[in-house]
Amino acid sequence: MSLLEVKNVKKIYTTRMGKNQVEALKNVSFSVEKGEYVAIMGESGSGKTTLLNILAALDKATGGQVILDGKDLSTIKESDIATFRRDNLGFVFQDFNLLDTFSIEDNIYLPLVLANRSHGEMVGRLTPIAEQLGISELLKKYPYEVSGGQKQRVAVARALISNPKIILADEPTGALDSKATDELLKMFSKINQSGQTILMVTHSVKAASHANRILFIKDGEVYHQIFRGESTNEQLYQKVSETLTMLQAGDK
Amino acid sequence: MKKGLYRKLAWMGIKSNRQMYIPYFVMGICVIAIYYILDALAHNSLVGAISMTLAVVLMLGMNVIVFFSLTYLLYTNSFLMKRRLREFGLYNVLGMDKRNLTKILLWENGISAGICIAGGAFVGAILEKISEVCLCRFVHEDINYKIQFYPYAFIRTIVIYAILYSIILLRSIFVVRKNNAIELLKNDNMGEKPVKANWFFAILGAVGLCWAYYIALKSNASMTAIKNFFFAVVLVIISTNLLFIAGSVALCKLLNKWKSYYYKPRHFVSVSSMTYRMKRNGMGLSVICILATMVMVMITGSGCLFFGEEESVARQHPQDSHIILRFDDVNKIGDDNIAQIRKIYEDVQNRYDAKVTEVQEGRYLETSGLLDNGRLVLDDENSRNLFASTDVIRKIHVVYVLDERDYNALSGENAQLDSDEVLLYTNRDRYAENHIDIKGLKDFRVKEVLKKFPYIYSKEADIMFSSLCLVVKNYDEFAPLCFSDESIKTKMLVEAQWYYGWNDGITDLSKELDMMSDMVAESVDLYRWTDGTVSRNAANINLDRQDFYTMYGGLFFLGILLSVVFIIATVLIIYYKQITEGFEDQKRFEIMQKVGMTKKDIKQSINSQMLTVFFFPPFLAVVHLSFAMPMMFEMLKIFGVYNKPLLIGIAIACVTVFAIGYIIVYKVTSNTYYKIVSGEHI
Repeated sequence: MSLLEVKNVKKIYTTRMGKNQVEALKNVSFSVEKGEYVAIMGESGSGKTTLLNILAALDKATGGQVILDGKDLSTIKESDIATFRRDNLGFVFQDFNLLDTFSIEDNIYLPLVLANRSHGEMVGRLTPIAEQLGISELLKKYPYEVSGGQKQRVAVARALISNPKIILADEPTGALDSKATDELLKMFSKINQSGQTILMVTHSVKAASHANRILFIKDGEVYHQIFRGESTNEQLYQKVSETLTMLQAGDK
Repeated sequence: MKKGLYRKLAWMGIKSNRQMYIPYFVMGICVIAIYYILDALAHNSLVGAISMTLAVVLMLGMNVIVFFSLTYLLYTNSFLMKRRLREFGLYNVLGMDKRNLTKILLWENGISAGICIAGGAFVGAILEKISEVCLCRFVHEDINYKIQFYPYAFIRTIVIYAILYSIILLRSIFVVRKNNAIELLKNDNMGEKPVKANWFFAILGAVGLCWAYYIALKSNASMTAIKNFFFAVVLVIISTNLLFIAGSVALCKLLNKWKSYYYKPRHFVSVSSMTYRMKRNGMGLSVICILATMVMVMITGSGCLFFGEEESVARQHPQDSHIILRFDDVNKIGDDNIAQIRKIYEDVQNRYDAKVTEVQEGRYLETSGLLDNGRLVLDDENSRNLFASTDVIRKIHVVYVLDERDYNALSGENAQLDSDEVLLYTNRDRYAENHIDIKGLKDFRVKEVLKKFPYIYSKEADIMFSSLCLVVKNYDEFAPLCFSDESIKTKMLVEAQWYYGWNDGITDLSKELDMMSDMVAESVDLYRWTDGTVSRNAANINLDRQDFYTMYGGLFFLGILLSVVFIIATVLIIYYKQITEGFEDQKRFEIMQKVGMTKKDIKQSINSQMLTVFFFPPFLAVVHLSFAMPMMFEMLKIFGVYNKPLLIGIAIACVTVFAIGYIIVYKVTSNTYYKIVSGEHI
């Protein structure tokens, strides 16, 4: 069984007066296996953020099912959703979403503190992750004292620390310069190689070309997908570019 | 640019930030209404007729209100400005220059001032009559229900508050002009750097507070107590500020280090955000604490005066009426002269058909000096200097002298003294010497130190100074010691006095007063001094009671009025704190919800924060009040109120009412805060 199964997911937004309906997702189906590194691509307005919000249980689908590790998200009670998210999902956002009131260390601990873990356990978990991400030196600093690339690595550490089943990354390179982007993507690959499942939403070809599989969404549907196979990042980059051009041209 | 644009922008700014503006208007309307009420009352013909003291008390209140309004409106306006700056930044980027922004500010402050002044005057005019009725009840005056309007008070209110709002406008303009567009845009989300704990100031605050408490505990009943009281008040305000600003940061840092406390879901977020904005937070909290203390001390003090005034009046009037005559010659308190005066008194009383009962009379010599190591000396510098240092004050003694015959008659003892012997009594410090030297003229042997003394009249009411009571062989022998020195005599530092007190059962006060003035007038030749002056003191309990009610009733009324203002101010500070922090925290809680914070966690975290932050100021205020109690008790003695249970009772009632109100405010505002941060707020 797949780790994540998305079956015929539909999302319709209704304007406040109920007059206009916008169909953000028409019919999306795909699945993600354990240990996969999947990128979802699409233009602005294609529905990829809506999809991610539904996967993150931040939003509810109008129709269809999302099953994570055998559990249907729609069956989780409203009051348990936050706990579910905390225990099963790790998030990396475009704008980092670090809390300026916490030191770097405390920012990373946040999910564990909310899960009421002991301080000893937190330290035990943080040490290898900080080592791996190269942020051991930053732990006592505050977010305003570090660079954007460093902030994003802190965010990754925060996502990893609760041992999530899947990491959901929303445009993780969106606010980074090219050097920081390269470093972050390298890090994602490394994390993936150690067995972590990653699902990344992006419109950066470069970011997508690091994934093992790329899904293209257009007008609320999965339009196409590319498998890495034996390609290198550069070859995959080529393929993705071509697919995007094709997509923009509008013909299959 | 289009006509009316600035006005529209200003109005829209107010409307879209109504959550912030409405409380600001409410506060403005309140202070202006109260100012108008005080002004109208102070210049009211009725109040003028009651007493000038009352008018003065009310004018004092006016000054307090104006000063308070200015600082407080500036303070709350700074919250508003902080929120508006971003918007101004946007206008600036869109092409408005500082002059255009100034115009918006002008409109905005104009609208605010207009609403507040008009509203305040309106509310004030309505409530003025109610206040007048309350005041009349407090000071026991007849109530007049005619509605009146006071144009001068009205004009003064408008002028004073127009000036106040202009000052606020100028400050806003200054803030906007000082910042450039980018700074204005960033202002709202620019985080403060985490502050460092300043242990020096934290310790300074603690030491200052201990010092103030020490002053309060060791104070005694004298004018020095009043002087010390103001010093202690200033010390408490400064220390409270330091403690909250530096001490709270230090406390947060400590909590931060305490791993097993800090890394708990309910404390993690609250402790870190408290640390983060403790400096600002500390300011707000110390203001809350000081206002709370002020309200409680004010109500307790003035309430105690008001409810204790009957006791105070009774203490100073053992009989309904009394006359005290002072003579320049000791022979005039001899039996013959006194008998003649008494005869005249009785004649007058008969003429008025007075049913005189409970006559009490007595004579004594009175002087004063510094008592030091068995020696009473005169010291022109310090004798009866109300503002001398505490040590000197303790040495100043008012001396009452009775002769053996009068003492035996009053006390029922049978004392036999030689001419160089005295019986001695002191009311405060124990007398340790076996002799007493009266002004270097004669040294008496102390035959016995008495345990109690039969005071004539209620001399113990004179608690400002210690009293030294002596019983001597006879007045004639003692008096020359004092009267012999011409300089002392002319300065009237020694007096032969005669007290005559009685109850007459006359219910008509003016008739009673007429009788009394006839008594003193018709006997005047018998106590006139050789230089032609007369010195007497005629008092009536009903007349004095009226004075007491006017004074203390007025003070109590003012205390309540000011407390209302301070309480509203406290509530609004809490409200503003919650709202602004709510908006600041909104984004943080959003992030935390994304990484798995539940609604329950949010509630718990808010509770933890509230319990730590919100209940500390009133708690410290109660501690302040408890330490102020001994001092207040001593100060109340000056006004003749000795009732400790009354003081404690009023204080407890005050604290209880305050606590209940505070809890309600806490519930309401923490709900608002929750709604904002959890995103349920629109």
